[in-house]
Amino acid sequence: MAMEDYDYLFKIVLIGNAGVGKTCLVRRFTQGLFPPGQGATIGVDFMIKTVEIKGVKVKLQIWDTAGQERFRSITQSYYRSANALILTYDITCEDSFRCLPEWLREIEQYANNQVVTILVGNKIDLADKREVHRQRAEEFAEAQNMLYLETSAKESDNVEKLFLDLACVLIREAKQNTLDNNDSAPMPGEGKNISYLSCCNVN
Amino acid sequence: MDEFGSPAVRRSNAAAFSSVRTETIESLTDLDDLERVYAQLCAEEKRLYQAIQRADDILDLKFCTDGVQTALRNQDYEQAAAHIHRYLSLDQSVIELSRQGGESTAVDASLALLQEAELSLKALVTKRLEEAVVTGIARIVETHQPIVETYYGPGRLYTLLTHLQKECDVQAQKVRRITADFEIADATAAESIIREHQQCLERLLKDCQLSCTVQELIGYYIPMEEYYMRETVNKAVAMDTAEAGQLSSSMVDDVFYIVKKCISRALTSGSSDCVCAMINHAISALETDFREVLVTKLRAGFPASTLQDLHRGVTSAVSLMQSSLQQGKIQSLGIESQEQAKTAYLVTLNNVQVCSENISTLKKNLESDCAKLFSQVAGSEQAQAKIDSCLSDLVNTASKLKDLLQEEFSEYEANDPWVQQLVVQLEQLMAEFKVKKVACVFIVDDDVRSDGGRVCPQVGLYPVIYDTLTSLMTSLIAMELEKTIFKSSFSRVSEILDYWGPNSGPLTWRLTPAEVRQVLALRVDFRSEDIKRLRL
Ligand SMILES: Nc1nc2c(ncn2[C@@H]2O[C@H](COP(=O)(O)OP(=O)(O)OP(=O)(O)O)[C@@H](O)[C@H]2O)c(=O)[nH]1
Ligand SMILES: [Mg+2]
Repeated sequence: MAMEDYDYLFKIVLIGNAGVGKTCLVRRFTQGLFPPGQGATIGVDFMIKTVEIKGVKVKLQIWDTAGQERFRSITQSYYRSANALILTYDITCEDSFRCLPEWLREIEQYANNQVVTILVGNKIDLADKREVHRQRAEEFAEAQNMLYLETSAKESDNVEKLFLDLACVLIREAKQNTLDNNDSAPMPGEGKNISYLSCCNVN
Repeated sequence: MDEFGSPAVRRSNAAAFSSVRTETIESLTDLDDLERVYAQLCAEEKRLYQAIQRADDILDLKFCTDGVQTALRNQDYEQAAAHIHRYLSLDQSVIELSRQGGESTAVDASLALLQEAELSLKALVTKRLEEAVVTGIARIVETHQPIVETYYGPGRLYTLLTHLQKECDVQAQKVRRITADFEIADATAAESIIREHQQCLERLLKDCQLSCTVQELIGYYIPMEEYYMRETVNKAVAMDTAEAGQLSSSMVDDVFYIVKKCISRALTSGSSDCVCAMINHAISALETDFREVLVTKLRAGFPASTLQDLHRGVTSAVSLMQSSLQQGKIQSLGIESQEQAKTAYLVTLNNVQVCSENISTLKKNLESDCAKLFSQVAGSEQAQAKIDSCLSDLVNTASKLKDLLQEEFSEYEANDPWVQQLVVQLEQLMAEFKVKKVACVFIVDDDVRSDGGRVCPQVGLYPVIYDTLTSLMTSLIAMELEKTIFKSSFSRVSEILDYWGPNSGPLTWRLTPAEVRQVLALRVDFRSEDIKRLRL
């Protein structure tokens, strides 16, 4: 096999209702733009971005799935191999929040049990149209053992942070796994109770 | 225009342009100067050329502007496209320059007209295309279905569809031509513009109603294919058989045949999403259900069966002993060990190996099939990237299965369950042995009492029985241990010689050379010639 130019490769799959802004988040992160008139995703889109975190090269393989019900059987096949899932809803759309339990059932059914799931409330630039309070979402995320973050693909708010923090968590988990496999004690500072989301220096 | 082009005229013109320098030429004394002047003249000539070209282009531009309007008015789209093509092939810098000249407003107007015409032509073509290819045909089917079915009977729609399909193919051909036209139009454009145009076109085609419907259809197909794959894989596992002398069993090849068939069928959809989804499902079938089967078989494993044989052997030895004693003689015991379980274990180990090889083959085949299929299609880069990613997951599956072998081997090395199980089983065996021994003695007692005619020194009998049984046990256990050692310790046949004959050191093997060969033959990875050739 050819020598690849990265230390880690992670698969990240975005899921959530249609129109919540999954594609916009991915495009903002991978291409640095907010696409005007972004149409609904059909099937699955695929993008790659390599980032460097504290000298560690991480290749992120990002699968942007269609939110529409009719494409589900295609998108579901990607859950199992995902290292992380970004479950997205739209803070200005109560409906997209209410569908979350349904999405969690999908995850339960199709994803592997080590998958890292982060709940993302998108479109915070539309603050005056907010329908889902931050606290409510945070509580929900905590109850379901998920990380939580609010973003705006449009204003580029927290988008970098979302992907980089996720990469950090995944690196940590990967290291933890190799430690477990080598049957040695965790290194100092590698303990589970460190807050993941503060581990990265995003800038 | 034409006389401008003739070399003689051009030269005289150039000379006239540089009349100032004629004097310089007269005063020239050395060749260097002459060369420099020649270079200057050439530069002048080139500039003149460009001026003529620009004049040409401006004329062309006007011609195109007029032409395209007329053509559009007459609905002659081919002609309009030709004009736009000509406009697009004009040097953009020239056009920019023309705008700065005296005629700038006129040129600007022409440009605006042409750009507008280009856009409206593109929109028109797209609209016509969709109408013609999709909506058109769908509408024909829709409106004609009741008529055809009413007047010609239900089965006749097929005939209509065959005709329509022909038309559909013709239209599709046109779509392809248009794609080619776009490419030609972009031939001179910058790389980024070409890419942008391609992406627009791809999005246009991808987002159209037709491809949505296709995706939806694929959405219905995938669960069925996946179900079929899972069920047939289960069936292959259930029907698993290992022919004598075969290194692996039937299920490995069956399973891969099934998986290959299913993915190939998905491939015929021509949709990368469809192929990827099926590859993903295949991976999960192989990594979960099928892997589970292999793991279970491995856990049932080699050592346990050997110990069961041993146990069975000793138990039958004890009962044989009883009957022999009753008949007054001790038979030499041939213990038929059940080789089946052992072979099954070795076949499973082999299966794992063959599986990971099969996966690699499957990956290679799919890779070339996909490359062939998707290389010409619009959006092929994206499709190829997706497929590559899914295929590399498939290869990971192969290495995960190989890890299974490694795990199996290193587990044996680390905490040798054979020895642990041996201890447990031996304890059981000894407990049983004590019971049997006592029973044996009672039988002998009875015998002696009922049949006084037999020469049987009663008192001396106990130690004899005990010794015989003990040594029998010891040798049975030792033989089985030796068999296991010969069967599992060596990675090459010749390594045995390090422990045999003069090299055996303090060990005395109970197995005969023939028995060693027999045991070695159970190893699927040893060649029988090597075993025969072994000098024991
Ligand atoms: N104001 C605002 N609008 C956004 C934001 N992100 C996405 N949108 C808009 O929301 C709409 C849907 O965005 P997409 O990214 O296509 O949504 P999606 O989740 O990919 O939808 P599907 O592909 O159908 O599942 C688009 O009109 C975007 O312009 C955001 O952060 N702020
Ligand atoms: Mg989308």
